[in-house]
Amino acid sequence: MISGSVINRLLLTGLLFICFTVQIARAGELESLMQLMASVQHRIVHYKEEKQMELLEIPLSSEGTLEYIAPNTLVRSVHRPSRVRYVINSRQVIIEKGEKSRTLNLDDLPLVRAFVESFRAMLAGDLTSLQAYYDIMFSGDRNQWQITLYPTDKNLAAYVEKLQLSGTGDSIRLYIIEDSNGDLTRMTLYPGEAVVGE
Amino acid sequence: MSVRKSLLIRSSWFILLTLAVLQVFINTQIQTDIASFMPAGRNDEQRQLLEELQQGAAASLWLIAISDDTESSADGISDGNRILRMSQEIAQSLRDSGQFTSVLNGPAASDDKLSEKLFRYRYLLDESINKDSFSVAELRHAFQQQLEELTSPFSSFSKSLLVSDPTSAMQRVTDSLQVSQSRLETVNGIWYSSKEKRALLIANSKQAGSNIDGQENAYKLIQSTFQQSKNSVSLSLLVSGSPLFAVAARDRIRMESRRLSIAGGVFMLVFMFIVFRSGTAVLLTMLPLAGGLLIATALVSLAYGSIHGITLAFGITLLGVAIDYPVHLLMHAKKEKSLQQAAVRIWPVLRLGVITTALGYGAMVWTDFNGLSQLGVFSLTGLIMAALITRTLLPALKKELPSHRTVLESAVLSAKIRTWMRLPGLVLIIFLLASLASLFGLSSLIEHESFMPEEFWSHDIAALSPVPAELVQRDRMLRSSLGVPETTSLIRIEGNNVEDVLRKEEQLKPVLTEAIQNGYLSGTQSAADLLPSVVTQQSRQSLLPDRESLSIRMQDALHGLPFRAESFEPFLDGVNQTNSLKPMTIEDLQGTSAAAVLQSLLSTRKDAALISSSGVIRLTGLTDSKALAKLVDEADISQVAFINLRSSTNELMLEFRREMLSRIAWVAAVIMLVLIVGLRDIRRSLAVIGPVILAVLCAAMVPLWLGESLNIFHLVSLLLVTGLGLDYALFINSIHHQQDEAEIVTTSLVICSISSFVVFAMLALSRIPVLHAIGVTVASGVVAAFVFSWLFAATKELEIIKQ
Repeated sequence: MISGSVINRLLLTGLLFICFTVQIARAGELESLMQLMASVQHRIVHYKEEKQMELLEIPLSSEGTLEYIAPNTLVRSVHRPSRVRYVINSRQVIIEKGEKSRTLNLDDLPLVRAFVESFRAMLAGDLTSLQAYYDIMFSGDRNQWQITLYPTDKNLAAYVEKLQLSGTGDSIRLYIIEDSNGDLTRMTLYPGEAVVGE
Repeated sequence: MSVRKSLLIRSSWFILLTLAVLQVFINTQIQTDIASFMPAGRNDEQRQLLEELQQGAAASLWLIAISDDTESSADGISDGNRILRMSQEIAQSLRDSGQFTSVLNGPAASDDKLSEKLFRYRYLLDESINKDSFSVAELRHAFQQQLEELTSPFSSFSKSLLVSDPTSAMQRVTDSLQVSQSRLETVNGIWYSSKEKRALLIANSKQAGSNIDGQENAYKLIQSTFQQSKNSVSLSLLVSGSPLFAVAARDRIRMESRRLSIAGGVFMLVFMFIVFRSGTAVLLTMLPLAGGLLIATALVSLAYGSIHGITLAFGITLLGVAIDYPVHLLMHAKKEKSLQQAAVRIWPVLRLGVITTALGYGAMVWTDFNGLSQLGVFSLTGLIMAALITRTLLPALKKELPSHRTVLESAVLSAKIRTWMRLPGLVLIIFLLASLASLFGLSSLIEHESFMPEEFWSHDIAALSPVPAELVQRDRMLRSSLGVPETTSLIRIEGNNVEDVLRKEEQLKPVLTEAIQNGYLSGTQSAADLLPSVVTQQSRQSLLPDRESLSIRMQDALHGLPFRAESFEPFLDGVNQTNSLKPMTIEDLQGTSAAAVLQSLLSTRKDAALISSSGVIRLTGLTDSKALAKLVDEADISQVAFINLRSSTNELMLEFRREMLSRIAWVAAVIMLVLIVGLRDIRRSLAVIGPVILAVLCAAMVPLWLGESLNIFHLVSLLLVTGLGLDYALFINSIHHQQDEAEIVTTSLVICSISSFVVFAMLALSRIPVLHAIGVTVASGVVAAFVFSWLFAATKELEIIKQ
């Protein structure tokens, strides 16, 4: 039994070592992907989202558009089931619903800020900022890639288990949020409407 | 005078003056806060105003800005960081100093302890709770809303609150608290305007606003803290706030008074030396005034426990007349060859002058205007003492004076003046003009007083403020960028206890909401925003369903919606727990950030056995105080008052003026009586009182001709003009056709009027409104009194000649 656990430990160490070297090899790929992302100044994409939640008997689906204006403005317009617009920048979130609008100060909401950063930094190709909040696992290459983000902050980890982004080239195709209680948000993005800047 | 008698006089004055010196230098405190100079307050509003002036939170609130003056914006972020670090450092050292009750350099950090409390009491604090709040329809509406909310990108964070609070009560509670908070830009939790590259702080001094010394220390502390932690030359400090105004005003008056009193003092010494050519004589002319001041200060501080700075300043002004007494004595001594004989000779005239002037000053003694009665006692004592010193001590100190003739003493001059005054044509013209002017003045005085008091009398205390306009401008700028409530107006609520005050504030809420909707008020801050009254909380509590029925209604509401009913157990628990909660009180908020806020908005006072509470509602962005005052008035809630500090202060001044005017009328009558008794001649009494009245009218008209409105300082000055006028007129009327007598009186009056005129003309040149007002009034009064006295004396002579 003792030898078995030693072998297990060795195996694990070996695996980690392999992963580590692979990571180093891939680091170059991640950086070049981020550079590619950074070259796009403005994009608008259509999205469809499905939420599976503990408090819901059936998944909740919604759709709308996502707009990104470099370096730090994100606009999420929900078209269905009802129209709501979220304008997110580095300082605040403005929620517009019909005539009403509400402003949340991100200074007061550090968790939300870190969470928003997962998407914004990805689009901006800002690897430093991404690494400030998350441990990053990268697989594939810049043409066909998958990134998994694990929150380093304990408080954020209490809400969010991990974030998964995958895509091809400079476009993100799928964004999955896995909450710590197992709730899943799957957001599928439909590029093609992307506006490529210089 | 026998040697023994003179020794007795000298030693008794010596003892009295020594005692006065001891009292003044060991036992006398000089008060500086304006509030203690004000009257005890006739009505409630005035009392509240005084309390607010003395203890109000706004009176001790410092606004601080740290800005970067460098033009280079290339490295904007690091510049910003420098300022942010600085803001943190200063805030921390000010907090550590223990001189401030609170120092804020950013929005109050989210207080977990408070949020926890608010969450537990959410269904008692939520203003929107009514009998339908937990109906099936309302619940269903809330759930539908929540379903939409779930499409938010932040549902990972919001869903835990959703299940415990699907009706969003907590959100409404926190929203209502944030309404009054400023919408200032923040960077890393620090108030920072990136456009102006400026960090902002608010510090609340521990000292009461009325404690100017305390506030000055706070100011010095802010400055030294900035200098110590200043990490770059390009950073600059900008400080403002009501306490700064108080400090600046006091410093400016103090500096200018010092400058002017030194200049005036030097002038008097030189002038007296030119006149008398003797150091001893110069000292003798100063002695009555100095002695009178000392004894008056000692007496007031004994009687009132302390003396007010304003009393001292005005008192010294009023005692200016006392400098004339030794001048009369010394001039007469030249003729009589002995001071004692001169004193005996002038005493009847001098005595009448002192008594009548004392009556004028004494008008202020019996009033509940604390500072005014102090001033009355002070000037009365000083005046009588100065006269007694002139009468008794001076002759005891010096037997005779060497006689020198000076330019001013030449017989030619006095003859000339008397000739001018005797020219019938000139007399007639001047007399007619003066009477016309006075009549015009009198009529416009009466007319304006009843119809257009605004134009004629200034009771806007701001017009008298010695605070430079630039400071006021800076304050307005900082105040608006910080969203700090107005310092000039607020609503005050009195009640039997905290609950009573809170209930009244709740009653007032719709009124304030109306004002906000009408657009002349942008926000309010009151204790009731944080803490509803117990009654209100209980009525909300009575509307909460029990767990069972809520569960059934919720099932109904959820029908057809994708939510899982079991998920909302925390909601059912929450409502159920609220059912057994005791309403939240101030004590429940102890230890949270809300406690300090409540403390500044509510106060409980114990007077003897009576306990009463009061609250204030702070107002931001008030643009039409008349409209708000009307609204509050119409709401007709007892013991609730809209207070406009400025108009209330102005009202105080108005009352002060009325009181002075009515007293002056009485006193004028009494003075006339005394004169008739003293002179035993109605005609001569008229010759004395006539020029005095005309001089006072002239002195009042000059500031009006200069385009200034009259204020209380002009009024106090008119008292001095009365005193000087009586002195001149009495002495001129004492001439009985003897050439040498006439010469002496003429010369001493020329000396007296020149000295008074120069000293007060200096004051008139001051830029400080108060000093300027006194200077203009007295200087023109001196000239008028001199001229009119001669004119009346001359007309009298003419009549005698004609007969």
